[in-house]
Amino acid sequence: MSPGALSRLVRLSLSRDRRGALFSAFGVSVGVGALVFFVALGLGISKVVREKVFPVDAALVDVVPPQISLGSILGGGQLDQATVDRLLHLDGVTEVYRKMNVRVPAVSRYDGDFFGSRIRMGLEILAVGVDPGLVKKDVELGDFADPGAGRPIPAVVSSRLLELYNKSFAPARRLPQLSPQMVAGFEFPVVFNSSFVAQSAPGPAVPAKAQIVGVSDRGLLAGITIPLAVAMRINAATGQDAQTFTGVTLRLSDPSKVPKVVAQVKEMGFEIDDTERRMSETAGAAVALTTSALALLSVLICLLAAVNIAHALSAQVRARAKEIGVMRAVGASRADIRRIILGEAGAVGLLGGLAGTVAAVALSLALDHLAGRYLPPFPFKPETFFSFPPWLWLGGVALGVLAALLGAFFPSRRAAAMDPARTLAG
Amino acid sequence: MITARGLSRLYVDNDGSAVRVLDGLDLFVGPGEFVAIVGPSGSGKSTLLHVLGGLDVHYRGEVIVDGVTLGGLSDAALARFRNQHVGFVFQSFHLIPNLSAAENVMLPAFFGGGTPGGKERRRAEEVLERVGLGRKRDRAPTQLSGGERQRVAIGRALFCRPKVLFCDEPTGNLDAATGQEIIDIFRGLNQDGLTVLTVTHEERMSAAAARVLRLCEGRLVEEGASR
Repeated sequence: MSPGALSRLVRLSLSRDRRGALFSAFGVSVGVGALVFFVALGLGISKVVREKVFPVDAALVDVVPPQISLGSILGGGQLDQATVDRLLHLDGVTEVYRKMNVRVPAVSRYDGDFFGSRIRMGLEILAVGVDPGLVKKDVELGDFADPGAGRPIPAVVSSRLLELYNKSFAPARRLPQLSPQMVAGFEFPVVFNSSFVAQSAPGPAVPAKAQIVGVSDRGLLAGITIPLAVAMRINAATGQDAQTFTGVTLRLSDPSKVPKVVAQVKEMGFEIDDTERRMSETAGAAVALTTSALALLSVLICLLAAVNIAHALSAQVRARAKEIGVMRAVGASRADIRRIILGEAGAVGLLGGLAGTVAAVALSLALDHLAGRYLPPFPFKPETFFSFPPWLWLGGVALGVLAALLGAFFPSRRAAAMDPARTLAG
Repeated sequence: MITARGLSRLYVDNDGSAVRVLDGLDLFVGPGEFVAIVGPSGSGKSTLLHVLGGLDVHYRGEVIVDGVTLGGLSDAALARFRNQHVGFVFQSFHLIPNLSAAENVMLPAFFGGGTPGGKERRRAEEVLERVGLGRKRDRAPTQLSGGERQRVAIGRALFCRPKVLFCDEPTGNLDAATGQEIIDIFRGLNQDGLTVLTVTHEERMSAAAARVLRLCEGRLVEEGASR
């Protein structure tokens, strides 16, 4: 039987019992819809965790000195320039970004206009100097380099800090919402080697101005990220260690090389700072676990739909015994009969799968709309809680068809095995 | 056209005992013959028809129809044989209720390997004209009388231009006048060269046949020519 003939026969058969077909398709659509909805929700939340809450670049490895070290006695433990050069020569490492904390406390006292509001406040500030390459793609204003003493220090702030400001700090204090473009160019005073709460170092205080030049995922969460040369200069000026680095970020040619590089780094006596990665993985695992439980429930609904289809088709096959006998008499083979029954089920599954997937998308759009309208702003609140990659659409439809075919398996075999002579004689 | 040698068919009854309905039966029907097989109910007439038409494969012996030896054919080959070489007409018409008269007639085209289209539709209309139902081609079976339904069933059997027509009590559900109309159709088809083998226990049907065979204890006995 040709596919065209099969499709026409299936259409004719389904048109006979539209109600039954729609009922079966509804069962499939509920299961598929639930599955697609929950998987899309899980993917959407994972995306927010991965991209906004804990933005982890899989090709980056953060190296830090060991917390307990015998130091230079055994020739390890210090992240100096020689070590950086050795790290750069590890197989798979393409770039090395050095980091050095400003090793003295710093404060900012601000009293003036803040994007149309007047504010007066004092803040303890952490600062870390980094090689420009680490944040250069996020710098929107000027060069990320040491401008020299007396000129504003270019500073990058964390995108997560901006998010926390916009969703928590600003609404609580009726301050304006800020975008990365708005904050670029904002200047504020900073005094290094000064603190409201801690004792400053023996060296002199270093007053300066900082100018925000960009917002970056790689920026220090609770502080400012400045050019490495500036951090070295301030540390030197305040009598601090300006030779060894607080950390080094390695960029690898391929994320698959991470385990090997990590092992080599550990052999060199250093540790890997994977706090963010682990937090991201923990959050991701929690989301995946919840999604899997809900997806399992949805698969069970699909199985119930398959059982319903099996039941309905079994009854139909019994009722259509003579019709099947006639088809055999006019030239249908057993395989043709099996194809017809499976084709009918496949069409029901296709309809149910499509309807379920579309319903899941519609429900997600409605929920996103309601969330946008009625949920108060909170940090990392996404525009959408859902993600519908193409494979999810295809998977939803395929699952509908699969569930229906599963349900039709035994009825189709029973129909094909019918003895036409007996059914036509009876 | 039809040759059967040593045909045996055994049924297992509800109580487990074996019932031999065909017992070493021999049959020869020449091309263009009109043969009626008579016998009491349960004598195995329909079984013989199903075996000869390739619907029943649980038999012993040799069957050759239109040059095709049925023994050993695969299910697909048997299906092709039923589609291309023979046509069936049943007592209860067995039309598909949600299809129109023309669509019922076209049913064999769905299993012929192609996709039914305009050519098949025209053939169905031509066949319906032949059985006198040209004007009712778009009617559903429920909108047709018993005689009209049987005409549609005959049209379906003729659709693929078979060489042999197997009829199982084709007038059994019809009144005398309508039954006679159907018999006249078979006569006409036979005169056009179609081989007709019918099983019946109605005299008027057997009277229309050129040769009448009685099925008795699993074997055929010649009763002589009716016409």
